[in-house]
Amino acid sequence: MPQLDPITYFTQYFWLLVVFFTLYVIVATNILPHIGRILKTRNKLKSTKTTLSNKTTVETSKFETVLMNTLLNTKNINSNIIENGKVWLNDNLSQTNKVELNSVNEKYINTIGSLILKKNIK
Amino acid sequence: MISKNMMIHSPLEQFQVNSILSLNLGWFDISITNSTVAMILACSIFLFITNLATINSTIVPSRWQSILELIYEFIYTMIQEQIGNKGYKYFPFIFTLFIFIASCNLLGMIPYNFTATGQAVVTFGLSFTIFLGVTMLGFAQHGLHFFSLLVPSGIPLALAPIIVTIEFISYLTRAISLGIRLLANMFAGHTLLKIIATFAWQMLMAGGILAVAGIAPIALLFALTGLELVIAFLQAYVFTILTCSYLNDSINLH
Repeated sequence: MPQLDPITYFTQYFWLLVVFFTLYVIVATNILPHIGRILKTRNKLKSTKTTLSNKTTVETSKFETVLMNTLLNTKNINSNIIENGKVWLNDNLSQTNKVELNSVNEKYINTIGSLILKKNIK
Repeated sequence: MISKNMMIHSPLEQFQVNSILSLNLGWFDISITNSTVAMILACSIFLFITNLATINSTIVPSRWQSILELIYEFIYTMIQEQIGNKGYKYFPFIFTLFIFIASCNLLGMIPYNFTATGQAVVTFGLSFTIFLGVTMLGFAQHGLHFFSLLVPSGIPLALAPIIVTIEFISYLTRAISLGIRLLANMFAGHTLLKIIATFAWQMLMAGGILAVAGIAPIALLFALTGLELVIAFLQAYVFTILTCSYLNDSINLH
């Protein structure tokens, strides 16, 4: 087995240590902080995004309830106005007929009565 | 016609360490060998890919970047499960260990490349260094109380000498078992691949019906290469997770 040749032991172990520690220094000072930073940023972004989207859904549901309430109120007011308007119109119509247009109505009936009488007398 | 013997070497020849550039440090020989080149190459490829992946890193990761982040989170959860909150100090070390072993194993899977982790000195160097470090860490953290690791809770006093001896031996063999596991896997896998490849080559060179039948060892070789790729990752994982559990013993005492 060529592995058991002791001549190469020291040089191989020496270079193993050199290469390993060089790699260790580069990994510990450059690579790991870089990857760690990216991962941290991503996790933070993810969490803020989820909280933001949660907030948005809450706001949306609030807005929707406000909108629905407003619509309902508007509908009620509108139907009230229509109802009241009908009542007012009917009242005013009968009132006008009875009071302001009373003489005109009487004259009209009188004229019709006299016309019918004239026809019958002839 | 190409000589039949051209490709037939000993299957162990791929582990031969050759000096490329002779260097001396005092009386010590620190020649750059093909093992050194393989280690440096493996780490450089990893650093190159990492550089490409992180140079324009974005919140939505690119493909290479997501692989790196996958490894990061993989090692992170491993430490969390094995050691707990005190273990994050050793995160860079565990990460480097995983990367080093995985890239050396994977580089060895490219044909004609040298497998640095198939060298006894490299794996035993790693495992003994880790063993020493973990033991020193244990004594630094707990002082002489660290010896309580050898005494499992709730054993009868009469059995204590035997149990302590067994635990002591099992503690010492950690260093050997950790290194020999990686070495044996790499060594056996690469030797097997080489033997099958030589076999397939000889069958193809024989011509006639044997050359047609040579498809079978080539298919086997193909399947074994896939298996070896899995083993390359698996052994890196096993090595790191065992290192984590030894660290856990030193930090938390059971």
